[in-house]
Amino acid sequence: MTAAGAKARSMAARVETPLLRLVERLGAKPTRLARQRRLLPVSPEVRLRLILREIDETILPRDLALIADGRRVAGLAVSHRHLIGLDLAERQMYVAGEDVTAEDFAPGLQALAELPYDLELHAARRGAGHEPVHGGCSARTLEHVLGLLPLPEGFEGLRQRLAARALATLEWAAPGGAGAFLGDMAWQDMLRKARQDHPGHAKAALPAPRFGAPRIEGLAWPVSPLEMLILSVYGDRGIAAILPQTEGLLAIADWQVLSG
Amino acid sequence: MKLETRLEDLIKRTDAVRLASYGDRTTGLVLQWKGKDAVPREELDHLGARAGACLSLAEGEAAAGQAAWVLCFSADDTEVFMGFPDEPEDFLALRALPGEDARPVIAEALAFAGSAGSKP
Repeated sequence: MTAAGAKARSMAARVETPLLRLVERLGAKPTRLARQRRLLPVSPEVRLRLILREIDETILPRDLALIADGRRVAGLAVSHRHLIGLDLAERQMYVAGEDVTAEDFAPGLQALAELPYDLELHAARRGAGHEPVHGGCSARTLEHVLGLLPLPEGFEGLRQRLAARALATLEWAAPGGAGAFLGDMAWQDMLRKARQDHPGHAKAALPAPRFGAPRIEGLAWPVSPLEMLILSVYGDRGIAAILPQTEGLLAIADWQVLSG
Repeated sequence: MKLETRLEDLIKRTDAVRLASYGDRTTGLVLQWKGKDAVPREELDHLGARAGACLSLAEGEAAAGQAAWVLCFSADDTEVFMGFPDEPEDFLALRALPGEDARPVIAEALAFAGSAGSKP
């Protein structure tokens, strides 16, 4: 064989192999359409970060199974870069549903990261029998709750803290406009009124500094025996939120510690 | 008990409270105060001026006969303004350390107001 012939055959083989793998992969049954298996690191923090990265990189609905010695010890349902379900058979934990929060997932993920043996991660397409689930938690939210990523300081940090715990929020980015409302509709009128009333009081209650960047200021008051309204403004931006009183006051204190 | 003594007791009872003041909402004047730190008169005037404006936001939501309170906060300030159901012209203003749990401060203010209102 000439040198040119040998080279052409070698190149054909190189192209053929990935194509063949692709054809095999696409021809497999949905449940066997697995990505390359991956051995997870033993360090809990590194393992947790890797699982969160996997969640963040998964767009289409997938079941992530964690296997130890050929035995499935945990499973994560992931879709649209959100964790929507977690089962940890070993600890008899199962977290799923449209109302789950990052706080619900956190203990399970932490326990999963701390399992004292080698784990393999298998990703497979979620079967057709599963109903599409909306909601869930993004990897970023989980990182915050698990303490892997410090909350951003300043107004964004406060906004995120309030929004994460709020029963309802009204946010605005400019003085005009209706703002974006989210949550229990029963609070909508009260939040809009609080926002509307605030500028009238702002001159006396929250004087703007004469120079320098605007300060983040806030007011909070009870609106029922259990709930409170928190209103915070930063320049033109603002948020008004309804929170349980204890959670609201602790969120403010936490934010002050972080910003101090 | 004299107002001065009550404010002093309040300050001693609650570690987080740095300043306790009592004033008149109509004029915005702080009439009596006790503090753990020296406070310039300008700051007290500013506190008195804000008390009325902040409390008027919360009064609509307070149930009849209950004391209205407002927490005013920034990254480095925590202040609690308290109105009195039987003395609508008066206010109590407490300044607390930022980053501290405000619940004991609010509870102290409610106790001062003698309110049967909800405590967080």
